[in-house]
Amino acid sequence: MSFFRSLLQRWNRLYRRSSIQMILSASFTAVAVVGMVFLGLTLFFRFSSTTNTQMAENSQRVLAQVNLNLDNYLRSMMRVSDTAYYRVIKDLDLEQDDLSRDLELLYESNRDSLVSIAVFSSDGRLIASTPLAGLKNSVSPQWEPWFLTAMEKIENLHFSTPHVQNLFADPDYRYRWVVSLSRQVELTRSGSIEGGVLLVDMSFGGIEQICKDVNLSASGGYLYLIDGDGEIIYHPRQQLIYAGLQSENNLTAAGYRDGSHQESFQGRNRQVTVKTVGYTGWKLVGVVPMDNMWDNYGQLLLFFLFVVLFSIFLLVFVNLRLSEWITAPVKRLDQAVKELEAGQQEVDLDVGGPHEVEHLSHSIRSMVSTMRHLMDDIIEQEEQKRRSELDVLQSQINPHFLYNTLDSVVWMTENGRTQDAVVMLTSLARFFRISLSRGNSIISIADELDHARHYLTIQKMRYKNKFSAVITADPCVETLYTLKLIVQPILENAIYHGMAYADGDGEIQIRAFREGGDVFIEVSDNGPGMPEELVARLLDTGAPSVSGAKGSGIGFRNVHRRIQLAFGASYGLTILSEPDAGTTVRIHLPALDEEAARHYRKEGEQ
Amino acid sequence: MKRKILLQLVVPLLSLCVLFLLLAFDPGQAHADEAPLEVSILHRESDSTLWSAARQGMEQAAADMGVELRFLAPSVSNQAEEQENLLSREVAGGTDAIVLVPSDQSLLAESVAAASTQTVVITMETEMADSGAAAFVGVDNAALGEALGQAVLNGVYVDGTVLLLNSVPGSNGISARLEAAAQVLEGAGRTVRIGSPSKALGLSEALPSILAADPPDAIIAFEADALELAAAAIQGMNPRPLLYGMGATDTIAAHLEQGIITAIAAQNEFAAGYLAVDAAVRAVRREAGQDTAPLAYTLVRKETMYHPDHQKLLFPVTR
Repeated sequence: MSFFRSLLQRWNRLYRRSSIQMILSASFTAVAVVGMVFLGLTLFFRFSSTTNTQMAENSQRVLAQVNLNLDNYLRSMMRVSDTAYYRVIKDLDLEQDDLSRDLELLYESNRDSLVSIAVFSSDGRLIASTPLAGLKNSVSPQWEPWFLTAMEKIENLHFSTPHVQNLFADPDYRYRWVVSLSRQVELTRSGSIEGGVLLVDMSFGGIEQICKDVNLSASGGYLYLIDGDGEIIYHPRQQLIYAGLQSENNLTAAGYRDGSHQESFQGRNRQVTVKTVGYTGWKLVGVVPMDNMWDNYGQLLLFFLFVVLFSIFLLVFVNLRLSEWITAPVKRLDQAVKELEAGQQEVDLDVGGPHEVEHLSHSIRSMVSTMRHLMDDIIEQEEQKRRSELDVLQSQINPHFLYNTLDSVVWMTENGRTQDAVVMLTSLARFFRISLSRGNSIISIADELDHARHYLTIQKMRYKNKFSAVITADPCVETLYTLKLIVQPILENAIYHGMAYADGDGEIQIRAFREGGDVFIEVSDNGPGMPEELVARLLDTGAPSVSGAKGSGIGFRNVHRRIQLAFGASYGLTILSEPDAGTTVRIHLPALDEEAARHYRKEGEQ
Repeated sequence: MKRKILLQLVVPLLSLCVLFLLLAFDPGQAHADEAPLEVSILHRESDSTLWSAARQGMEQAAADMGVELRFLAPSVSNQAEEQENLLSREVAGGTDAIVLVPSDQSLLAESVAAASTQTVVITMETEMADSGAAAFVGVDNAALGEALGQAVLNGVYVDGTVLLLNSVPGSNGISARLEAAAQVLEGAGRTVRIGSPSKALGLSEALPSILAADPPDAIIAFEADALELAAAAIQGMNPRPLLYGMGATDTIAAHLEQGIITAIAAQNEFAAGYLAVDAAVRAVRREAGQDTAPLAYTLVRKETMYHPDHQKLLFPVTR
């Protein structure tokens, strides 16, 4: 069980690691190969079965033909016997006539098939014989099997098993294998009937002529002939069997019924076809070795194997190409998505391919487009948020100052200081005109310094000239541009925290200068200064507001944040202050000419 | 991309082409069509009828194994010098194997040793493994001699004389049979006399005088030719000595049936011939099974000669 689980896990890992193309290709190939092998095996087994059937039918057909020929031959031998009996022996009286001459004529007319013809009396005496006339001294025909069988079953003709003819004295010492055809005969002697035996010895030649050269199959099939007991009458390798160098399954074959049988003999499978030869009870046995048949089909099998291998190769190649073609759009889409993931902006998502992939790529394209719009919206929203924040910060300046200034104007008017009130109101008007600047957030440094100057004018009047202020600027600086209303909050802090308690000796210096691409506006006072901790907390947006008599440092932070929102984190305020040593606030800005200021103005308006 | 195509298409395609060529040109069939082996058969007998059954066995083996046979015999039987010449000639001719029935193993030892270095030599009747022969096909000569000696003991009284025909002078399988038989007979108290042909007279000429000088009670001939000669020689004798011997020709069978020969030891000559060629082919092809066990022999008497098994032994089916 764990083995199968492990196998499944391994399969899953392999599946996950494989590409779609490989999975498609392997699947196509596997299915095709399985189908091909299944079809091939089906055809092969069908072919095999048909071949076996055809082979059996062929063997039966050949055996039927051989059987016909053999039957004709044996019947011709029986006719010889009949002729000898009914035309010769029955017509003659042994006392008066000699059988030999007629038997000799009969022998001569069939000498190719016969070895001898002989007539014996019932006690085994030789009455007549041809071609040899004398019996051997040592033989006793009456005890020979063919004689005993003939005398025992008098109605029948009897075929013996093959044996060496040993009856007649041959001056040439020839010993020949024969099959004896014997029958009981009635002999006439002096008119009376007595029993006897007619013997016709057939030579092997006739049987061999019929059985040899029979081609049962191209795979080494052969045919042999046995009697009813399985004794071999003819076999193409008979002498090898007699010499003990080869063996045959003849005794088993004697028990087979007519038809085709499968047998295993000496470790080899054979198809055996049996046909009984009519009268004699002999059996023709056709043998076709199945192993040899498969040997002959070896070439066919190899060819089949070649075709299968070639087909598999073609399948693999075609499937690789096909799956590559099918998966190409998916791969292109995958590559495009990877490029998107890498942050590439211009990605071609038009990968083509079938409907599903097309739809998928279209969806991804649409999704990317939506995502980008959403991102743009978010950026826009962020920008708007920043601008809003900027506006809010900017708008936080005005109310305090306005109320206080108007209070001062009211007070001066009530006290008859009309001229001062006019001056204050004029400065206030100028102050607000610059503050508005037609809605521009970027103004020239000259205007910004002018704005500071009016502010100082108003504050000096309010604070009864407790302090003096000097504004200086490098000539080239005033033509540059800056975020508006950034100096006034610094001045406000300097006045509230540095000059409020001065006694006419307070000094505020404003200096604008340029260093390379940067512009610096320094606001210095000779006020009481601040401890280091307070300086650190003033610009820390995360720190709580600084509590004091007036203000909480919000003005510093607003200006600092506005500058950083507009120009980046590298710009903003720097505060240099020591207790009793005054305070210098340095405003760091980029040096913006008119063109750059226009750009910032546009960006801000967006 | 090129390498991928090479791997995917060209290499498998080439492999399949090679396979197809192998199938098309059928190397197995080419092996089957190779030139047949040439095997020379070098007998010691000039009369080929004496070994016709063995020859049929050889021809059957040749047909089965795809071998061409060349039968050679000396002009005069048992001439070692002539056999030596024939042996050298066949070796020079490049024959693949030689089946030799040596007439004298001592005289032929050097020639066989020389031949064995260039071709395969198989011996019949006389074992010459010491001289380099690859295999021996034949009966156990000593055992056969003992068996014949034992057979004679039944028919010859103690002190009776037994003539042993040394028909093939020299050192060979026949002499080994003779020695074994003599040992058995002498051990059993029979007088053993050796009858040999002289240089001037062959056995057929010498035998009447040998028999007339001192008629033996029994004769043993250790090969077919001598047995046929002895049977012919004793036909007119009275009393006729018992005759035993080795061989299975039709003439010998007829003499056995007539009672002239008392008993024979017979080997299956067809099997001997077949196995000799088979051993030669195996040796040439370096296949296993070259060594052949000693062939069986059977003692056959007149009474048993038509036993079915003996019929098959004595009378080959030679249609």
